[in-house]
Amino acid sequence: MSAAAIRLEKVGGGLAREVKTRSGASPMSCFQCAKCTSGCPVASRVDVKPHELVRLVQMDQRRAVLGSRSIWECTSCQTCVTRCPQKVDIAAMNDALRAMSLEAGLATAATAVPAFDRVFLKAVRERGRVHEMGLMVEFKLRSLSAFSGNFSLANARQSFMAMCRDKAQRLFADADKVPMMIAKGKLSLFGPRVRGKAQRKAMFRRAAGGNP
Amino acid sequence: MSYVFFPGCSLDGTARDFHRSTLAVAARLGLDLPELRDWTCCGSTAAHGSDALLADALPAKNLAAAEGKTVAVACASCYGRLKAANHHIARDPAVRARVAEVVGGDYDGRTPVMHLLEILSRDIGRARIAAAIRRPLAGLKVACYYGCLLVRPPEITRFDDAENPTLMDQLMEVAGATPVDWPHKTECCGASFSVTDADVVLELSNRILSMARAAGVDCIVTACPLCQLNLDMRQKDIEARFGTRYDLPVFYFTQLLGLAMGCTAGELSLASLVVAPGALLASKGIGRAEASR
Repeated sequence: MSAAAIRLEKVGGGLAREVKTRSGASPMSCFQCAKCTSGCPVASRVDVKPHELVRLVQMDQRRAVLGSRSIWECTSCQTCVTRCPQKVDIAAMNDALRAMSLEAGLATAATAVPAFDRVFLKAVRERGRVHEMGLMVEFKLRSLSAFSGNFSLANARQSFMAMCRDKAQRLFADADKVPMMIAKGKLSLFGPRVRGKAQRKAMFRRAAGGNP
Repeated sequence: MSYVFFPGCSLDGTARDFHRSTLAVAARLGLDLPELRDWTCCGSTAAHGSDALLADALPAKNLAAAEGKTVAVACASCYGRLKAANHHIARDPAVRARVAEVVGGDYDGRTPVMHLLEILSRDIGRARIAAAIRRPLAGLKVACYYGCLLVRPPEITRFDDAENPTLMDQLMEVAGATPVDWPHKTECCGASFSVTDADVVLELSNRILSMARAAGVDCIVTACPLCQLNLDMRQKDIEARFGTRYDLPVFYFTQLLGLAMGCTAGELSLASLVVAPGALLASKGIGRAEASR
């Protein structure tokens, strides 16, 4: 934090403190100038804008924050923290909030990001490097098996059909690009493997044990 | 100065053309870039978005293996992650200790990390690059697009001005091209949402393409595999969604620099570009017949 920043960290509820501990970000320093939202590339599409999200954290609104789409739609471009006069690291705050949202079981069903992160990190653990083709295939299959959408008994048939449509759409989205990408040398069918799988697995185990 | 090269996963996949053109340009400049042995993925967005400790440990494992040499990076995302890990580990003894436990060895966070643009601008220098130019890119108007991860957060990357970087513009000038002043140099393209929610990428990348066209350029120049992929491979989808036509080739800066140095289209993998640059290059008399496909 810069020397000029006003320090307001004494106040604030448990959520703000937890964010601070886990990410180093200081949501209590925010004075709601909304410069973050002005420069945020996804501000026009998210349910809660960046400065609003910080305010909700200050107000200890755990459910609204951890259940928001906003924390999953952040692209981590870091324009917010770069321009913030108080140096509130909203991108780092969102990283922490995503983990907390998953732990609390509050993550919105509208996001595919957790499934992608899991598949990605599994590839790193198993192979050492990410093979984009394999990653895409596994991600598609995984995100299909995850239940999504609102399902109600009253209109079970429509819900089921909508779910199938949604899944088919997601499965075949970008499938048209595969032959072109192979022709352009952008995708290969077989991925690399790096030595040291046992060490990597041990490393991932130790990291999982050491997280807050 | 001696370097070890950390290509990163994209440069062995969707950005193989970035890899090839980087090595071609390095060869012309006499810049030795031996690959870091048994490098592993930096963890990228997936690690820092879900596991703070792993996000520092994965880069640390690679940086420790560099044995004090400067780690040269081409991918903006790898660059950001390696720099961030160094920053966290060097500044916070508690993080350093936890990372040491996870990796199984102490790392001090002090292995220098440089992006190719920094190496070319600061270590190689304008004069040496100018001396290697054979066929200046005369008459080519370019929009240099830096994206997010090279410039932000500036306290960590210390790359260039965070709002108006110019390293790539200066290189393009040396190569004989005409970089334009435009406002979207560091706007976000949507990055890895390309996989999880392509809608985000279509909207964000459209803004960048639209601004580049308004600036009257012939093409866009990038330094990041994700930016290049989103602006190039998704350009047709963007055109369909927004009912417009851009037809703007999206190069890696190493491809244009290589063309100016007299490398062939094959050495620079120009055929990997989805928006074919052949007609543009031919109209400017750049890259002779072999580039015109």
